[in-house]
Amino acid sequence: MAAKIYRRLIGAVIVLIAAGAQPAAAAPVRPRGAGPADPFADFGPLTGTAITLDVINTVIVVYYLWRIWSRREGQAAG
Amino acid sequence: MQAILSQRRFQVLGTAWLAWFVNYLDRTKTAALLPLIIVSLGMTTKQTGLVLFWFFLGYASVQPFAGFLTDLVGPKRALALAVGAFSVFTWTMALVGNWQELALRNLLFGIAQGFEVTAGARLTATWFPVATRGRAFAFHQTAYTIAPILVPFVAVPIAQATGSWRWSFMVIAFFGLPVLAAIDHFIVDRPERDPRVTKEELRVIFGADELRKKRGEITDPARAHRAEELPPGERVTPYSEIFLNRNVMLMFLASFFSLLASWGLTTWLPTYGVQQLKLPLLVAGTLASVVYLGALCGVVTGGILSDTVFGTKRTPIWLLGGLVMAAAILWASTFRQGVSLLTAYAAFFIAGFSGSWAPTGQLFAPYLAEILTPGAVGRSLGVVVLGGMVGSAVAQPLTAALVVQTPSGPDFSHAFVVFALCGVLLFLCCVGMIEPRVRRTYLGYLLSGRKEGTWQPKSIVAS
Repeated sequence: MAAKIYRRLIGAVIVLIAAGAQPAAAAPVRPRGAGPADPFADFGPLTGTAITLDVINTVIVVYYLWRIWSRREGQAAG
Repeated sequence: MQAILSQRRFQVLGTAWLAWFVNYLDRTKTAALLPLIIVSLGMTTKQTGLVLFWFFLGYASVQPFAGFLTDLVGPKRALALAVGAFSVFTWTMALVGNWQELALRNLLFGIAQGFEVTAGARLTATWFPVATRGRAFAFHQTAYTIAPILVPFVAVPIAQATGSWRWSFMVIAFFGLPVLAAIDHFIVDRPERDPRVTKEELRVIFGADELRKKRGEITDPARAHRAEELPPGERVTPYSEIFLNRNVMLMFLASFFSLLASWGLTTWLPTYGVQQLKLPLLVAGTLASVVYLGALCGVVTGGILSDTVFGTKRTPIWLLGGLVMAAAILWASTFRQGVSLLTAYAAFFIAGFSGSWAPTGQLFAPYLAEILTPGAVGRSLGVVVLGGMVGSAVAQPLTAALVVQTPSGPDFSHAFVVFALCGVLLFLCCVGMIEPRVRRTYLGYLLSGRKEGTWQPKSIVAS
């Protein structure tokens, strides 16, 4: 009997919590790591850092490609 | 160990491995982060499929050109171009705002990545002697099995720690930079052109006789008219021999069937685990990991067996692989809810293991170097990988169409039967391929009581 009452009480509490959480549940729940679609909103205050990293990455890539493509290989050894 | 690391061919192989590893890490991180990207960009299942399809389209369409470029400018430049391009396209993908932008950049990313395999394969074929080429290339191919196993532990934690999947792209874009430095420092297109290679190592790679006879400067075997015009290790191989070649055509078909089954299986396994076997998502995800673990063991053992037990024969490995893969997947097609997890792991491990014993899984560079010449590996491999990539692209909608909806949920058994059939067709393609070691097909060699045949490359017959 006591167990039955406890179950009903717990059920009622859950219903109340769910009702209270209704407005929050209506908002889309995003898993951590899934930010907004707009990349600049997603990066937030770190947008400048992200752009700087992109520029550094590209400059290093271009430097190595120039270095590798402009160099002629040595002549036959042995 | 020090003796091995100081030898130039192992430094070249290590760098090619690193490039292939970062290529696969970069490629598979998109799949690992896809659940987050879907939510972030609000993509539907159809749009997600299109985004994935555009990658394969870019990768497949570039293959014939990638092969030509590799042979034209040399594998070092082609490899650097691929790594540099996909490093840049990776960070540009972090700045997308909708699925169309992601699909377009995935296409460009696929094009950039497509130039890598032909360059890495040609380097291994050129730098290693026939006796150890199988094992060397097996080591190279371990990269594509290790990277997908590790990628969830790299890409996902970065996204969760920073709160955005975009930072995973930003960080992984930098992985290509040390690879570029390694390419710059360690890679030289041909051993005999490397001032740091010793005479002893050159003798190991080419043999003293070949080194003495050939000192030519024409590196393209399709442009040379006499053997003496070519560098050591190469023979005259006109375009007609590269492209109008029964073995290359059969490899094209075998690759189509092989990658149709492999990509169809690995892409859909987690969904199959959840929907048909009613497994929890995490456990269902491990089914695909088991396939890659099997592939890792498969590429290593296949290369060793080819070089040692089969005496540098390549096609026996592919013949065995096709049949065993068909049997393992057919076995898996009988699994229903309640099947023991150990049984499922065993079947998918064997499927991954034998699936890697295929003309796009391993030994393709040694085989093409031996049936043609190392200098033609880029162009011929472009054709072979094209077949495989068309198979990969077809696999996704085909598998979706073969899943049957039943009252108890989706049933994947028809799709699995088609994958098993692909294993049999792959076997049949390999039956018709010439095994250069015995100058005839391998089955013909066995059935004739191990008598060698009379096959010779067309250019040698003509001269």
